[in-house]
Amino acid sequence: MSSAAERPRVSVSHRPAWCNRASLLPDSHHNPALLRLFRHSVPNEMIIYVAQQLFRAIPVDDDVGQPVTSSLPTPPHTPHKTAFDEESQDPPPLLPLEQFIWHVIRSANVPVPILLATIVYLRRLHNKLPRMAKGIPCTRHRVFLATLIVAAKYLNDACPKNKFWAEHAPMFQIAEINLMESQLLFLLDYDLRFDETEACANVAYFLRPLAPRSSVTRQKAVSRVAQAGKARAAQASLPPTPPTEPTPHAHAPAQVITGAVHSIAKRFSSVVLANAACEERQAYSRSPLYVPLRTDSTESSDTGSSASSSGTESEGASEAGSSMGSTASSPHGKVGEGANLEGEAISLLSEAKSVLRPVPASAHRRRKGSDATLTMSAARGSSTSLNTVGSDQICAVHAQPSRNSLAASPVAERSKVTPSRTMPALPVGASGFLSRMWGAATKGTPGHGGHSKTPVVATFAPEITEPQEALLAGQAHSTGAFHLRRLAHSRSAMFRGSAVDVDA
Amino acid sequence: MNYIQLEKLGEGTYATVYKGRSRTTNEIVALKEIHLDAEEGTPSTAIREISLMKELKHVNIVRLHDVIHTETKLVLIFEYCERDLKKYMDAHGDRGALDPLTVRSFMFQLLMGTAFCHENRVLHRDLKPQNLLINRKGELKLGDFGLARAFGVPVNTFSNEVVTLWYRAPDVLLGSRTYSTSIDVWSCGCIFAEMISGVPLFRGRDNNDQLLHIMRIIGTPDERTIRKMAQESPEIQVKQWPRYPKIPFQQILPKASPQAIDLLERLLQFDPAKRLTAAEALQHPYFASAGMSAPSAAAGQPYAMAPPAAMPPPSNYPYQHPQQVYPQQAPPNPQMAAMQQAQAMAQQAPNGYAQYPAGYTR
Repeated sequence: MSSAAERPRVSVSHRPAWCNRASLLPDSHHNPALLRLFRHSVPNEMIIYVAQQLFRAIPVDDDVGQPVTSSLPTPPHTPHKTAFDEESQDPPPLLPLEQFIWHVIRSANVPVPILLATIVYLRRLHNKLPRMAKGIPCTRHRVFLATLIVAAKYLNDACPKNKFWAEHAPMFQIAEINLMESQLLFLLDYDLRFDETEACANVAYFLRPLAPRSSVTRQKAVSRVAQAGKARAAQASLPPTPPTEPTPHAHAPAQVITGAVHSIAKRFSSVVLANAACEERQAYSRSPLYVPLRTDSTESSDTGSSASSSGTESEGASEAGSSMGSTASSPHGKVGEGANLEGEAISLLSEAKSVLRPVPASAHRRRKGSDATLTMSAARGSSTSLNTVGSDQICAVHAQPSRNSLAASPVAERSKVTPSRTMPALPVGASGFLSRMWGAATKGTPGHGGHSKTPVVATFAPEITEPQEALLAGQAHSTGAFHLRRLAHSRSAMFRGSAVDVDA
Repeated sequence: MNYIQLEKLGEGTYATVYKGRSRTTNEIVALKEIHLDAEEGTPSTAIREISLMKELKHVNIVRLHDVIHTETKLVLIFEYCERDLKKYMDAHGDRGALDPLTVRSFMFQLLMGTAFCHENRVLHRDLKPQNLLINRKGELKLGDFGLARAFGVPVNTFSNEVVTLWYRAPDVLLGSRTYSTSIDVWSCGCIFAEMISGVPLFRGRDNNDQLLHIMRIIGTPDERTIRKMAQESPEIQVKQWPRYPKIPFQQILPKASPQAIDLLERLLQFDPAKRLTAAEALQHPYFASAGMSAPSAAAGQPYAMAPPAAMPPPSNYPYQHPQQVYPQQAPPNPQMAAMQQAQAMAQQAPNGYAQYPAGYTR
């Protein structure tokens, strides 16, 4: 029944060569925009988009805990106090979601098609998961990683083992990764196939026709950004005007770009990504259950935006140019195709678009100067991440009955996924899936308990900043150092000030 | 587990197959146990096999009933088939060679299953007698989709280390990664010849030797063919080969009928673009010749899917080779009609398919 001879061995290269992408059909059968998208590395916008899909698909318990509309600052929760005793049992620090995704994708050199499949699967997951299913903060990380692994395995003849992914997501042990993979496969009911129509609909935003331009005009656009950066002081009084309406691409991009650069320079650090998250919150506010996750948004706005922006810069002129193009051109045409499916997400993204526009070096310098904002955002990050760590600990020691009861609440029961016909042997609801993802998290904790946290900081933070630094080599060196410091800030915040600051 | 594990049926590189019985229905099934490696996680082969076989529901494709995923192993529950084609040939053939009517029935079913895969944009990529299963009714079913892949979306990467060497198409041997459904057709041709003669047609030791074995029989292709193939698949590495003349298949397979030889000729084309598609092959006059009656099987039962006496005319079948034009929507399929016709005929036949469960048509 099974072939003994000649089965190709799955190669385990440290850095897999994701090459020779083919459909086995002539290119003329495919959407040219899709093929164009595949020719580049993953745009940062797509990373944000994946994060949004995860936020959509998986509400997290902590979302409820911190009402964002409250005008008064919420005092730290009690777990904060007990935290010192249980310090040794801390789970390894959880990167903010966007940063985690960014890190995995860049370090494993994941190509666009795999991320595209990831998006398709996340959409399916979203449709299969009950609305009431809840996770804990790391659930989204887990689901993302599992989805990515499954996508890579499904699409490529030569794909890496899970061990490879464990190296690129060091906060998870390989046993956990195996578990989340099999849980995800079960939840998706091994329904992994998709056609081009579905693929295009899921990434319609990224397939919008680009403004008529060649690489030359791209370079022009980039230089225009630089000029616009210089010119922004003159326009300081103008309000930032990211294009919310579809604008005809005859529209002079320079003006929009100037506005964009201006807006970035003004609110680059925390505010921008927080805005993206805010917009998402607004979209979700329709769901009565969704109370936005303060922790994540602030955190990510702090570190995530720096990461993604530097990524954009480093990817060179063409990448920057294409994001610029997206600013200038309007999301019409192809977007319309996927409008039914993606309308909401697209509008979210187009509103949040300003987030990831390339930022001229001058903007960095300026931001560096305005240390007040930075300190503030870092402080915000620290206070909120304290809560995250605290509540994580509660998970770990099973000390909070309410959390357990949430996972098995009648609500969750009511909204059980329909049991798979093909897999009756494991009749587990989707809510169970999330709680099992959580269970896996807590199971993994003792293993990590042995690690002292300091080494984690020492290895982790530089690992993340290293590519950025390398990428920024051509730039002012201070910028790289700046990133390092900012990351160190948020990391150390997670350790409640007890850990080593990388800067020191 | 809902299944009682019975005797071991076979062992492969990454799986062990047992006979099993359902506790609830008493149905006999095949249990394919895949050991989960701690470093690898769920094998990609298993992921694809499950994902694809869930969709492919056809009488000539082994049906996947169920999947059980535990911490240490993954068990796929398949419909049970008595033996594979290799064992069948050893047991029932004359030194491996099957009688012409059995060959024709099996060939028809093989092409039916393959055409169904291709219609659904799935490549099997490992067709060989060991992966074709024969049940008591004489039905042939494609099994082991561990190497199978869906195609048609430009997101996949393909390896050229596919298909067991003896059944590997020359374009793949040359290094092509942009092969198509035609590689399965080549394997079908090899299996066809093997059923007729009882021995594998091309028995190379390695990639290059295999290529030489092929050229020694079907002749070294001319420069133009090679250049054209290299143009269509840039990964192909062109070398110099000794110039072998073509040996007529009639000489190698003296027992085969002229129509069988003609079909074989069209399946085993060096240039993948010139090979028939599986759907086209089903319309070959070989399957339409008169006097087709059900050959006797071991169990004394007639074969399923005996090709109908009258086939639709082989011309202008709308399915086109994917490298030319691929219809957006599957066109109304005359093959389907032919198949239904075949089944209708089989049901009318004495000693027919009364024991078929209802709704088992496809």
